[in-house]
Amino acid sequence: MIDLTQDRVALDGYRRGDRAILGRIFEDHAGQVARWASGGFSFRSGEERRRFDGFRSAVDVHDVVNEVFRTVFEERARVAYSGLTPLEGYIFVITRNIILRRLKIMDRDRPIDVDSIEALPSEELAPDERIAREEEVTMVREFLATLGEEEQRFVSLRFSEDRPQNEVGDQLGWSRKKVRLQETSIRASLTRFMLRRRGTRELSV
Amino acid sequence: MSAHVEAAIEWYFKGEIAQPRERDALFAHLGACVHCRAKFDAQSAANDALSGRRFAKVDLDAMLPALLEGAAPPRRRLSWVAWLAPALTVCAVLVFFIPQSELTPKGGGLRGPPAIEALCFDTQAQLAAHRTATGGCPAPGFVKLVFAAPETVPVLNLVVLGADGAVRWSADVTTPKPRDVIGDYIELAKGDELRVIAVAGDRSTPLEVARTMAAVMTIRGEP
Repeated sequence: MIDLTQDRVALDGYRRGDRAILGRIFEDHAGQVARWASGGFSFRSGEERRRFDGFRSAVDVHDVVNEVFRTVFEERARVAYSGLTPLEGYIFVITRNIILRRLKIMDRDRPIDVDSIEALPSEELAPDERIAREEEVTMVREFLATLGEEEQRFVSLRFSEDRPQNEVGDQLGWSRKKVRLQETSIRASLTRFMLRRRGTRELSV
Repeated sequence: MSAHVEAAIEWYFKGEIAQPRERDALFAHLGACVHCRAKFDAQSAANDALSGRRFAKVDLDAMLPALLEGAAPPRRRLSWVAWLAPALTVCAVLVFFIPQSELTPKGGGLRGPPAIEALCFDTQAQLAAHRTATGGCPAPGFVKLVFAAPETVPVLNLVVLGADGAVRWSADVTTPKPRDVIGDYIELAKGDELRVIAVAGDRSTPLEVARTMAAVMTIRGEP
C-alpha cells in the first residue's frame, strides 16, 4: 500500500493526477470505501449520535465508491490533501460526507474528525448474516464442484487471488477475450445455480 | 417506460464502460429501474460469492476505467508542451516533406490497422528520431504519434501499452488528417517498451477491446 505521508514521489504523483498513482490509490482504498458504504458507520449529528447501517443494494455501493474516488481524484481534493495525515482518514471524511449528503443529513458544522474511523464496524458479521453467508459458501462449494479443473483454477485466480484479467490469461494460456467470456459465463451460471437451489429449498419447506 | 439495460450491466462488469458519461447514464437508469437494479445486484452478489468476500475486487475492477478516464490527467496542461512547439514545427516540416510512398506500408490502405509513425524527442524536446516501424527511441524522452495513412478515417483509436500490458496512454481522434501529429505525448524511460495499437473505424472502439488488438509498432526506450 502506498503511504503518501512517507512517499514524497507518490504524493507528488497524486497531486499531479498521475494515472498510475491514482490507480494504485484506488486499488489500496476502494475495498475499504465499499465496506464503509455497505457495512455502515457511526457518526454524530449535532449532539445526537447516529448510525448509518449501510446500503443494501450493490448499485448504491458502486455509486458511492465511484463518487468518492471521483472526488478524491479531483484537482481540488488532490491539492487540498496535506500529505501529513494518512490518506485513509481523508478518504473516510469524503466518504462520510458523500453518504450523509445522500441521506440528506446536514452535518456541515461538525469539524472533520479523522478519529471517526474508530467508530467503524468490525469485519465480523451479525448472526443472521453469518448464517446466510455459511449457506452461500456451501452453495458456492457445490457449484464449484460442477466445474472442470481449468474453470476451478480460473475462479481461484480471478476471484480468490484477485489477479487481474491479463495475468489470469497468461497463467491459463487464455486470450483476454476468453477470460472475459469465462468470467461472465461463470457469474451467470452461479446466479442460476443459486436461484435454483434457493427455490428448491423454499419449495421443500 | 424505458428499455432494460442487461447488456450494459454486463459491459460494466467486464470493465468495458470507460466513459464517465456512459457510466453515469447506466447508473441513472439503475436508480430508477427495479428490474435492472436486481440484475446488477445479482451480478455483484455472484462476484461476492465466488470471491468469498463482501465486496469482490472484480467489482472494483469494473469501476476503475471510467474513474481514471474522468480524472482528467493534467499532463495535457504541462508547460513543456508550450516549449515543445518549435521542435514540433521542425518535425512537422520534416514529416510533411518525406514522400508518402516511403512512409505508408504498401497495400495497407485502410483495410488493416492504419499506418502510424512515431516521433522521438529527447528531454530537451529536440526531435531525435522518426520511426515508421518497430525500433528504439532515446530515453528518457517523449514519443508522439503521427497518423500516417493516406486518407482520413472517421475515428482513430490509439492505445499504448507498457511491457506489462498496462495502458500507458490512449486517445480517440476524430477524422485525423493524413500526416497529423497527435496532440499529446507519451513519456519514455530507459528499458520501456511501448506497444502502439491503432484502430480505425466508423465509431470509437472501447479501450478494453482496442487494447487486445495487435500492435502496429513497438518503441523501445534506449539509452
